[in-house]
Amino acid sequence: MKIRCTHKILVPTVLILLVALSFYVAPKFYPLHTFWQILNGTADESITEIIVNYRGVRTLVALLAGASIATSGLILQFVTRNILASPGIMAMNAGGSLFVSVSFALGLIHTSTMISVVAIVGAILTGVIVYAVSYQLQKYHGDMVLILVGAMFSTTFFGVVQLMMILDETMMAVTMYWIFGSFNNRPIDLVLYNLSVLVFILPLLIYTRHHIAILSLSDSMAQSLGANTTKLRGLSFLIAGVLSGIGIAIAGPVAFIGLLVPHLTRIIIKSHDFKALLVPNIFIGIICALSADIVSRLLLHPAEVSIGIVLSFVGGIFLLYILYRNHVKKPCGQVKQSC
Amino acid sequence: MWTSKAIMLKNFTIRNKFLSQEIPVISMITLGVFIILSLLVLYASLAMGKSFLSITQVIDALQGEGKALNKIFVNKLRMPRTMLSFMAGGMLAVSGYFMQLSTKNPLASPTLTGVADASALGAVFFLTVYSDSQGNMLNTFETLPLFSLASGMLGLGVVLWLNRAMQGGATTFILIGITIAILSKAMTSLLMLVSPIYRSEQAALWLSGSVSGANMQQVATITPLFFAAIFIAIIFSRIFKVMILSPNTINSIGGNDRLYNTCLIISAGIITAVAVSFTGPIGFVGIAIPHIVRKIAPDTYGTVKVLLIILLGGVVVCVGDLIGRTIIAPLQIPVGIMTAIVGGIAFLVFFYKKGVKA
Repeated sequence: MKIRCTHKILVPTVLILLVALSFYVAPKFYPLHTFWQILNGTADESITEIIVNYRGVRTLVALLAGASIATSGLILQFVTRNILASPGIMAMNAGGSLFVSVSFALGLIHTSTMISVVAIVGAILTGVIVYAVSYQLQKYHGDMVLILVGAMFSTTFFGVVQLMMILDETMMAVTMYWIFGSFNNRPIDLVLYNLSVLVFILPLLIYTRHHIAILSLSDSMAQSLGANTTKLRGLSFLIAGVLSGIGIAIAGPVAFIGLLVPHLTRIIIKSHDFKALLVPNIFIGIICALSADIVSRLLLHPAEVSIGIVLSFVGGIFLLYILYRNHVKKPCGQVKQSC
Repeated sequence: MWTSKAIMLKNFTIRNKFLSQEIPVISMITLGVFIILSLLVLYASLAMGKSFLSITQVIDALQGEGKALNKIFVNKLRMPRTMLSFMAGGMLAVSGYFMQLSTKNPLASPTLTGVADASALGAVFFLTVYSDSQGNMLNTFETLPLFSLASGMLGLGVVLWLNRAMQGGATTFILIGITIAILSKAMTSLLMLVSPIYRSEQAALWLSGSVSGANMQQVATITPLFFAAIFIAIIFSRIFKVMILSPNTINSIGGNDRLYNTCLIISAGIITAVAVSFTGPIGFVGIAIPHIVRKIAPDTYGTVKVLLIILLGGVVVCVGDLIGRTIIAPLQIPVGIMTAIVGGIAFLVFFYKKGVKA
C-alpha cells in the first residue's frame, strides 16, 4: 500500500508545527523575537535555560515516548492478534511503574540508567504474565478477556504503588509521578540513555518486521510458512517490552498512546499490513504525544494538567469507538479476530 | 462437610401477604453466625486503635460514661468510621448482587460497570460547586447523595444504552463499564485540580475510596438510606430465585422480566450512588461478596441470602479499614487501596477457576 502524497507533505508539516508550538507554548509565552535572540546567543541567560533545557528536553521526551509507546502498541496488537492490546491495557505500564517505585523504596536505584533497566524488566515480565493468563482464558471467554486480566493486574499494581506512597511520605513526589506520568522535568541523561537504547533496538525491529507481519496470521499458517512461532513471539514481546519500558522510564505510565495510535494509523493509512503501518505509526505516535502534551499545558493555563488525564479523555472515547466499530459490523457480538 | 440435607430438621416457613418463604435451618444457622461475626467485628473496630478498650469500656463509652478519653476515642473517632464502613460495604455488596442478577453477568459490580466512579464524579462535582475558596461548604450534606445519584445513574444509563447499541454480550458490557469508569476518573481528577477541595487525602478518597474522613453527619445521612436498602432487598427477595432463568422462561411462568430487570438495576444504581457519595468508589466488595456468599452458603436463597451478603460486605469493608488504620499506625491505608490490592488477585483467581471449569 502506497502512502498518499498529501500525507507525505502533511505529516512532516504538522510535526514541525507541533515541535515549534511545544517550544512556544508553556506556562509562560515569550515573544517571538526572544527565539531569534536565543539563536543569536544574545538572549537573557535564564530564558535560554528555560527554552533550551526545559522545553527542549520536554519536547525530546514527547518525541521519544510517543514513538516508542506507539510502536510497542502496534507490535503487541499484531503479535497477540487482539485489537485492544497495548502497553497500558496489558498492565505493562503498571508493572514498570511498580518495579521502579519498589526499587526506589528499596534504595536499589542509584543512577538514572537503572530506572530504565528496571522499567524494561517490569514491563516485559508483566506483559508476558498478562498475555499468558489471558491466552489460557481466551478459550472460554473470548479474546476480550485480555482487557479484563490487564485491568485487574493494573488495579493491583497501582494499588501497591499507592500503598508505598502512604508508607513513605518522602516518596510522595516520586510515586505520584509513577502513577500519573508526565513529560515534565525529566533528567537529560536518562533521556539520552533511552535514546541510545532505542537506536540499539531499532535495527532489531527492522530486521523482524517481516516476522511480526507473519505472526498476525494464525499460528498454524505462520508455521506452514516456516516460522518458529514460539521463538518469534518471544522476540516480538522482547522488542515491545523494551520499547514500552523506554516509554515508562522517560515519561511514566502514559496510557492510551499505545492503544489509540495504531488504530488511528490504520484509519488514516487504510492498510492492515504491519510493514506499511510501522513508519506512519511512529509519526502519528509522536504527533499524538506532542499535541496531548501541548493540550495538557493549555487546558487549565496557567496550571498544568497531568498528561494522563488528557489522554484518558481522548483515549476513553476512542476506546468506545473501537468497541462500537467492531461490534456493529458483526451483530452477533463477535469481535474480529485479527487486526 | 455437612450438607443441608443431613442437618435439615425442619424448615422455617413464613407465609403472609408480603413474604412467603421456606427457610432451611442451615440458612438460619449461617445467618446467626454472620450476625455474631458482624457484632464481633463492630466491637473490634470500636475497641482497636491507638489504645485497646475492653468490652465493658466500649459499652460504658457508648452510654456516655467512663473516661473522657475513651468517650472521644469511641464516639468521636471510631464510631463514624465503623458505621460508615459497615453500611457502605453492605450497600456496595447488595448492589453488586442486584447488578449480577439483573444483567445475568457474574462480573457486574458497582466498579466494573462504571457506576461507582460516575457517582464519585457527581460527589466531587457537588463539593467543587458548593465550596468557597477556603473549602467551606455552602450547601447541606444531605444533598450530596442526590448529586452522586444523578451522576451515577447517568453513567449507568450510558453504559446500558451503549451496550444495547452495540448489541454486546456480557464482556462488552464490562468493557464499556471500564471505559466509562476511566472517563469518570479523568473528569474527577480534572475537577479536583480546579477546585479548592484538592488535598492529597481527599484525592485518595475520591479516586480509590476511603472512610478516613467520616463524621456523624454523614452517618446520620446514610443510616436511613441503609435501612431503606435492606427493606428494598427484602421486598425484592421473592424474585431473586426467578432471575437466574432466561427472560422467556420468566415471562412464561407469569413473571415480568423487563420490570424485574429495571427495578433491580435502578435500585442497584441508587444504592451504589448513596454508598459512594461518602466513601468514594471502594472496589472488589460488589463483585466478590455475592460469589463468596454463594460458596459459603450454597443452599441459601432469598431474604436470608441478601442479609448474608449485606452483613459480609459490611464485615469485609470494616475489617479492611480496621487493618488499614492499625497495621502501620499512625499512618493510614485507605480501605479502597486495601480492596484494590486484595481484590485484583481474588478476582483473577475466581476468573481463572471459572474459566477452567466452563
